[in-house]
Formats: sequence, C-alpha cells, structure tokens
Amino acid sequence: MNRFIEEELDIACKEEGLSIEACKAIKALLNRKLNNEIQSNKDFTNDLSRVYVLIQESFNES
Amino acid sequence: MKVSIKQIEANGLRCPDTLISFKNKPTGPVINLLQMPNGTGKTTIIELLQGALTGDVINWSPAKIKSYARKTEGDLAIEGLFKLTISIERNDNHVQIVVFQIDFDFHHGKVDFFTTPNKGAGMEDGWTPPKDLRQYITKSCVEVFVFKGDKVKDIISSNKEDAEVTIKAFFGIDSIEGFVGVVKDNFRNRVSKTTVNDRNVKSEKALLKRWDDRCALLKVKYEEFTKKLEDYVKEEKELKDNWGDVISKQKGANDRQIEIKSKIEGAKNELSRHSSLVFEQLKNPFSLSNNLISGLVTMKDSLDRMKLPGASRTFFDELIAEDNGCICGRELDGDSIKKIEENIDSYLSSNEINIINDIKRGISEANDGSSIVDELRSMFDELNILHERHEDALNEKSVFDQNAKRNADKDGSDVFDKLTKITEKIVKARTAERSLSKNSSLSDDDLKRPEKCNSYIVAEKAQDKLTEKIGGMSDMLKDVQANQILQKVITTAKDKALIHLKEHLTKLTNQKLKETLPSGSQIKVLEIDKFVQLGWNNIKQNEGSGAQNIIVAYSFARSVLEEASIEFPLIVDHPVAQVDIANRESLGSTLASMMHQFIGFLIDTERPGFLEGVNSSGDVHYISLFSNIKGNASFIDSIKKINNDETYITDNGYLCYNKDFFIENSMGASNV
Repeated sequence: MNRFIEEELDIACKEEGLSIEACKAIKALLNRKLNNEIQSNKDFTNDLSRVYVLIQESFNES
Repeated sequence: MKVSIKQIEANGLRCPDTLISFKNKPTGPVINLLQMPNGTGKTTIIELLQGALTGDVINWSPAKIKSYARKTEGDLAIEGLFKLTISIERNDNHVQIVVFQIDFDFHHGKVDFFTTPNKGAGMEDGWTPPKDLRQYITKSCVEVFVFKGDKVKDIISSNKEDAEVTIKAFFGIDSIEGFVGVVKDNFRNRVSKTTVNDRNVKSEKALLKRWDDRCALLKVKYEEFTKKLEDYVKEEKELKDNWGDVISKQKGANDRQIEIKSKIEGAKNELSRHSSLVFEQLKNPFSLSNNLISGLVTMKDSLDRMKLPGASRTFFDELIAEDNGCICGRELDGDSIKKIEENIDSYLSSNEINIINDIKRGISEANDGSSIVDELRSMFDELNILHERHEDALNEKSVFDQNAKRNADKDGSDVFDKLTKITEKIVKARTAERSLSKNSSLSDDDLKRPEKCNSYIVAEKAQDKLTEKIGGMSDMLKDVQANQILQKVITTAKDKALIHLKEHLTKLTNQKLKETLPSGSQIKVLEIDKFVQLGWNNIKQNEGSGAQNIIVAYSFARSVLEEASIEFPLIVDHPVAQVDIANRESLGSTLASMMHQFIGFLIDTERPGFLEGVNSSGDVHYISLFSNIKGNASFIDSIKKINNDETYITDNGYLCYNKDFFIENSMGASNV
C-alpha cells in the first residue's frame, strides 16, 4: 500500500473515532485485497465482519 | 524491483517469424533501437507485447484474434505464437525469468495463454505472473511505460484524463474504488439474507432485487459501450492516418488541411475561452434580469426611507451593563432601565445594521454604471459569433473533405466513407456511455421504479439507499452504521491520498525536468489533475515544444515508477516523430539517463539528429527487422555480408544486430 494511502487511512480512522485495532484491521483487509490475497468470498465476509465488530467496539468504548 | 524485456518470439503473425533479444545490463542503462520498414508489423509487436504482459489478450474477441494471423497470398495462417520473456530483479539481487506465451488458434479465433513463472519451471495455464508484479502490469499501468501513438499528448492534453488514470492505476486507487464496491456488494448480500418475517421488509427486499438486476444490466451495457468505444477510437485513428495519406497525395491539399485544422483549433479555443467568461458572468445574480436589479433598488430606497436608528441596540445593552448612569449625567434608576429594556427590541444590533448597510452598498454597486444585463447580452452575442465561426471552420473542413474524396481514387474514397461512419458511431457510443454513467439525484419516486433508471451510478445509489433501509428495519442498525463508517474512512483516505500523490508527483516530475531539460528552459508542471498542466510563472500553457512534451511525459512516467519503487523499461513507438531535427540530438543524448532499458521503435524520418545524440549517450543496441520480400532486396543483399552470429534468419524474415548495417540501411516509410 502506498505511504500516502496508509497515512490518510490513519487520519480518517482517527477522525471517525475508531480504535487502533479497528484501523489496523481495515488496513490489513485493504492490503489483502490490493495484493489479491483474498482466497474466497467466505474469507472476505469473515474479515469484513471482524472489521464491523471492531468499529462497533470503538463506539462502545468511547 | 527492476523489470526488463529480454526476448520476444513471434511465429505465424502479422510480422516476420523472429526471435528478438533486447540488451540489458546489471548496472547502467542500455538503449535498444529497433527499425522496421513500414508495414512489417511494428504495431503488431507492440500490441502483443502489451497484450501478453497484461494478460488482456485472453479477453480479445475472436475477430480481433484472427486479425493477427499472417496472410500469405490470401491464405490466413492457422496458428501462431507470441512469447515474451522478461527478467525481474528484486532487492536481494535475485533474478527471476518469467515467460508469457500466447498460442493462437486463428481458425477458431481463440488463444491459449501460458505463464512460466520461473526459469526451469513448467508452464502454467493462464496469466499467472508473480504476485508482487501483478498490480503494476494492468492495462492502465503498462501504458505508462509502453508509449504508443499520441500517448505523450494524451498526458498533457486538457481534454484527456491519462495522467489521473495512470496515478490511480499505479497506486491502487482504482483497486480501492473496486474494494468499496465489493464491501457494498457484500453488505447488500448480508442484508438481503436476513430472515425478518415482516411484510414491509419483504417488499423492500423484492424492490432491492429488482434494483440489483437493473444495475447489473446497466453495468453490462456500460462496459459494452466502453469496449466498443475503445475499438471505434482505435479504428478512427487508423482511418484518420489512412485519410491523411490519401490527402497527402493530392496537390496542395496537405497545406490546406493544416490551414483548416489550425482555423478549427483557433475557433474552438476562442469559443471555449469565451464560454468560460460567460459562465463566470452568469454566476453574478444581477446579470440575470433588469427587473431583479430594479426590484432591489426599490428595496434599497425603502430601507433608506426607514431612517435606520443612528444608535444600535449594543449601545443600550452596554449602557445598562456598565451602570455608570445615562450619557446626559442622570442616574439610571430601576424605572429608566425598565423603560429602556421595553424599547430595546425596536433597535437593531451592530451586526444587523452592518448587514443592512452591506446589502444597500451591494445594491448601489450592482446598479452603478453600465447595465450588467446589457453586458451579459453582448457577451452572448459574441458567443454566438464565435460559435458561428467554429461552425464555419467545421463546414470548411467538410467541404474540403468532400472535395478530397472526389479527387481520391476508389480506395481513398472508401477510407473517407468508413471514417465518416466510424465518427458517427463514436458520437452515438459516447452519448450512450455518458447516459449510462450519469450521476443524477434519486427521488423517493424514482426509487420505486428501477426499470425507468438508465444510469448504473443512480442504480448503485438506489441499492445503497435500500440496503440501509432494510438493514435498519431488520435490527442491523449497528452494522449499517459500521458499514457507513468503513466506506467513509476508505473513500476519504483514498480521495485525500490521490490529492497528495498528485502534488508529490508534480514536485518529482519538476525535479526530473530540471535535470533533463537544457538550463533556461521555461517550462514546468504547474499541477497534475486529470492531466499534466504545463506552464511557467503560474501562466498555463497547453503544451511545450515537441521535445519538451516528450521529456515531460517521460519524466512523469519516471516519477510514477519511482514513487511506486519499481523500474520498467521505456518502450516507445516513434520516439522523436514530433521533434524537430535540431532538438533530436539533445533528446537522444538524454535518453540513457531516463530508464535502465530503453526500447525505441524507430523509422527512417526520425533518424537525422536522433542517431547522433543516442550514439553519444552510451550503450546502444541496434536492431533491424524486415520481411523476406522483393521490396527489401537491397537489405537482403547487405545482410548476407554480416556475420551469422549477428543475424537471425527465418523463412520470411531477417533480423540483424549489426550497428553498421543499421546505420547504412534506413528503414521506415520509404520502404512501403
């Protein structure tokens, strides 16, 4: 992932009040997608569900 | 990562059967110059190189595949082969050799594609290059280092988007946009699978299904038109070149055509400049109607007559708060304060008075001097004149073309008819493409009628809206919110990163221009948006000289590759065709400093000046390729004197790596 995209993801996550874990999970998922590393739809759905949970937890914490 | 082209092998195609080895060194740059007589298959080689590298050839239509078959005395070859070998050097100095092989079945219009991902490894079915290379060899990325036709102009032209397309492709912005789409699809699937037993939810789900179908249909249509448009534009380019050849055979026609073209261009620029001025003027609301101004003047007169109070409410507020008595010296007792407070609302605050005074001043200025409405009217008159001038220039071209057609032979006349038809098709396809991707608003009424929608963008909006609605109705409100936030985070980051990338690439390109252009050159990149905007001292200019344009385009390409931490060869068709002889030498001498491997497909008219420059710049590999036909008899005679280890001869083609042979035998347009 290009450094500018990574930096801007950090900023956008912070602005939306997301936790570091949620931000890391978003970046990891995006990276896997960019590198064509997602094997199946099921894999993607599972990863995405985890991201949703982390986003929701960010709000529960705050 | 450093990628180089090692070898190209061709058999049974619209070029001689051959095996071309390109030179490359572990350190330092190498320039490979390949000359071929016109009609030998230069375009075929470049297109197949792109098709092999990107894997795009797998998606080609049977007709397109068949068009690459060699025709010998009317018979088409049954099969063919194109093999591209590249080397990839990674930071650990390990060199990987990758082979892309296309087996053509011309009879059925099919191809089998194979990749050999490592030296000595077996062939794998399909396009399977190393994973770390894949994102850089998509179609849009490859166009950055394989320069064809008008690519240089496309990067700097204000009506093209090639610069932005390149940046989006190279840095994964495209993939992120695709990712957002995949996230949306996934969430929509989740929502549509909910098992809430509610009549309203069921009804909304049924509507969503109708939108899904509509969207899929519109997307297919959009892709069809995009593909068609791509093919039409390519066909138009070829026909325009052919029509240019027809015209150049008619006495005086070439000069006249240039004259008309310049007239059209001038009229178009004037029209565009004046249209911008009119639009600017239209932003001024007073320019719309004299009634509006006179109404406002009446309002101002009324405000003047109202005799607004000289003191403001703030004065009385302060008077009470400070409790220092009245300005006349009297003490302010409770009754006086009560009286003031009862009347205070009839006075305006300082801010309110300022606003009213501003409005009055604005109205006075709008009504001052000449009428803005009349000014706008005369601007529209001028716009009409410029529009007519543009129309006249286009008509002049039409008359010229008709005359040229009348004076042409049957083949020339056919070229013109085909060109006219393809231009009409392009207009229709563009209109359809625009309509299918129009971004308009979506009302609640529209939401109920998917079948009335003709834009896939609007259909996507409807899908999003319904997904969120159903999610909310199905106890998935938290998921809906999480999904919205995820999309917002990614979209915001993507948009901002694109802005930063463009700014950074502007700086990098300018650094490279400074290193490459002669000192004192007054040209730089002012900004990169959809295209690379050139200029000097903040004054925009459409383009530089031919040589400057090329150096700008190459510098932009190098900057993109540098930021992506990848090196590719620069492969250029007609490297200096648009450059005057005086500047070719300096351009040739700077080529070596641009890329580690340069492959230029050169024709005879580009040689003067360029060869001298290239020769002085370092390691040059001279390659000549020509067919075994009568017209090339003099080349065939000469090649017989060359050592065998410098030639590669097949039944229908000759390849030669000898420098003297290259210098002495000029190939290109003159050998048609």
